[in-house]
Amino acid sequence: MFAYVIRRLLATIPVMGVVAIFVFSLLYITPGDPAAVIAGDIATAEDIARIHHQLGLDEPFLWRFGGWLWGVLRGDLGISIFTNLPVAQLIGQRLEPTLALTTTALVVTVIFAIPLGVIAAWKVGTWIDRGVMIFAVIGFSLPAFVLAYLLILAFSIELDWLPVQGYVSIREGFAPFIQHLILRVSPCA
Amino acid sequence: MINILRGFSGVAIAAALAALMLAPEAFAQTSGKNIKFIPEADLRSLDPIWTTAYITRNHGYMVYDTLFALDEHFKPQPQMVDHWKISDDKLIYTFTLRDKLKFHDGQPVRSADCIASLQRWMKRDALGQAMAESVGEMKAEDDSTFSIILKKPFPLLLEAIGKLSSNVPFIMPERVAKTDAGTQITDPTGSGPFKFVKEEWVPGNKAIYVKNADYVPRSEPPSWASGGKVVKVDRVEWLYIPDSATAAAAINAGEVDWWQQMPPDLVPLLSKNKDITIASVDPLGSLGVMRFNHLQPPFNNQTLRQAMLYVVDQKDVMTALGGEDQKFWKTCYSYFTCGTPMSNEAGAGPLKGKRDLDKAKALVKESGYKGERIVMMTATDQWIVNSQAQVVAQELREIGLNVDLQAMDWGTLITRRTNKEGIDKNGWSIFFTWLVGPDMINPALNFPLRANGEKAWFGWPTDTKLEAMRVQWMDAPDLAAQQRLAAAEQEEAFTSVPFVPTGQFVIPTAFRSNLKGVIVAPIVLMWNVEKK
Repeated sequence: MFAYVIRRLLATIPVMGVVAIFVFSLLYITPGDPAAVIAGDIATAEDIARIHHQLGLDEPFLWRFGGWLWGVLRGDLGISIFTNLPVAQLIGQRLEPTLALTTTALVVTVIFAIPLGVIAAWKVGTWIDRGVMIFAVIGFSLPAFVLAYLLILAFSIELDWLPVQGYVSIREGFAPFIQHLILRVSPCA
Repeated sequence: MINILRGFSGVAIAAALAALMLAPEAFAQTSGKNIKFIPEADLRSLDPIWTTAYITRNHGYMVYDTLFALDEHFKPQPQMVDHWKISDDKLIYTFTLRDKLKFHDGQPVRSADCIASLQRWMKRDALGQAMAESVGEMKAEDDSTFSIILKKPFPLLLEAIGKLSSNVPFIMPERVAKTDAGTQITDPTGSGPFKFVKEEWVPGNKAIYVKNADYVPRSEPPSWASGGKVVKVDRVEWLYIPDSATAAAAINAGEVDWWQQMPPDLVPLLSKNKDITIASVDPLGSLGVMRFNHLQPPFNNQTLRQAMLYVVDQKDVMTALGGEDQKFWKTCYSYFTCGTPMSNEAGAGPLKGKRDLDKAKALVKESGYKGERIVMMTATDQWIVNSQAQVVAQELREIGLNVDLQAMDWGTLITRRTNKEGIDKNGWSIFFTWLVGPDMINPALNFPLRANGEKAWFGWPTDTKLEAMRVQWMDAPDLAAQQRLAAAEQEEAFTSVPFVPTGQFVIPTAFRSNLKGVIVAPIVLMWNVEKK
């Protein structure tokens, strides 16, 4: 068992390497130029070229990839070229809301989906079964953003029960944490 | 198993219900001394000298102050300066700072800080670079007085150091201003009416500002960026909400107080809420720009560009952009922002008159155009750009031009427009954009009017006469001479057609009706604003 786990872990290394090369390559394949975005709309081509050079965006692919990889291996994710803040800090700022959202969505999904599935199977062929099926079809047919807008309209605008937007950390209270999560989680779940 | 799940789900539902019942109104209203504001874009860079991005300029107005600032009459007024004198030969400007000016770290503002800040600004800003050619030396006489000694007169000096829009010559501590102009600063310390709370900054989500209790405002009433900057709230939160529907819902629900720029098509929706005021607080608005690639065919041909003046209908473009209600747009047959001292209609006959398709077709034929493909770029995620492109593409097709309207996102468009190659190498022929009024008010600031070839803004027009006229304008001795020269320059511009102005519009702003004191100005300013 232990050997199996080790083999599987070792197998992820080349996979991660391929993914890293592929994702890094996307920066070259996809359109858009961070220097142009940073410079602003009224910048000249010289301004953009200067930013390219300053940020090292004009360096060869392998050089840039190597530098980035070496940093990652040492735990240094570098500095954001947009905000000048450490990338690790930017990821950290998003980690808690992301975990809260995904964990809560997963829990809600499990809490509702499994029992509903069991009930539908138990009452197969009945109106309960059909009702669950209709509910499921509506759920995966309706785009999440449409559902989100409808929920905002109902629960935020009309009823004023829940906030439209924003995230509150659980450290600031369980009630506001849940209140701010409900409408975000519902379309995801 | 089912019992466990029942129990678990029961606990979850009970928790949710309990949460719902607790403080149900807590999030619906923002606090009386805090303002929640939805800005036009996400704040990414904190350096208003390094980038021209308007959002960073707006950030600059929160945390920095300026030596001079433009008022609503386009006159530079002293801001950090208490008094100044100009030598008779107009070569020496001596400025004395106001008392008690302090940076956010408690250090006094000194002459050395001002000099270093101006030097850094002059390296990046086009008007600053023009000024730098005239500056011989900047010297600190003492900590509160400094002089700018010129090699030759520069009549626009006060206008330059009181410049309204990007890049604004904000004053930073010397240690920060000594950062290379090509490198972003990391320290947002300023001496302005607000302090930036960097620890709470979450790029992509929010930026927080608190009142600078040590700021000493001037006594004059506020007038655009000049006058007293009296802060009447404790805290301002910039919440970046990129989705318009969510932003509309948030202000409708009272979760935010002020939405800087809302799409006009949401005006009818929010107008129904009596607690929301929809207004235009920008007296200059923005101008639509139809820009050609002057380096590549077919628009390297002046005659073909002139044909466009007879085809483009500003009313059609502006209606698509701003709706039928002309409250938010107007025609502007000038290369300079209408409503400003340099705007005029010299040479504007072809654009202003009724569309003359016969004349346009004749000019197209005269240009030798043989049906070459015209790549017109549009950004579908920028409604201002896309509205212009959709209308003008159709107008050009009406006179037989072979328009290939290519849709992309804004990030791709601003990347691709840097390409000087032909359309067979991913080049372009036309793109659209818009520029705020302050950036087009006169020849010195109007950068799309620059015609210095490959050094010019994207499109790279060449017109040595236009360039010479710009220099002449900057040396003009008085307003009458400036207006005369601006009119002459415009006549030349309507001949060489560096771009086609497509109209002038304002983007509506929405704020809760209990928000008072919003300053009517071409840029968003947060002092003087309070919540009743």
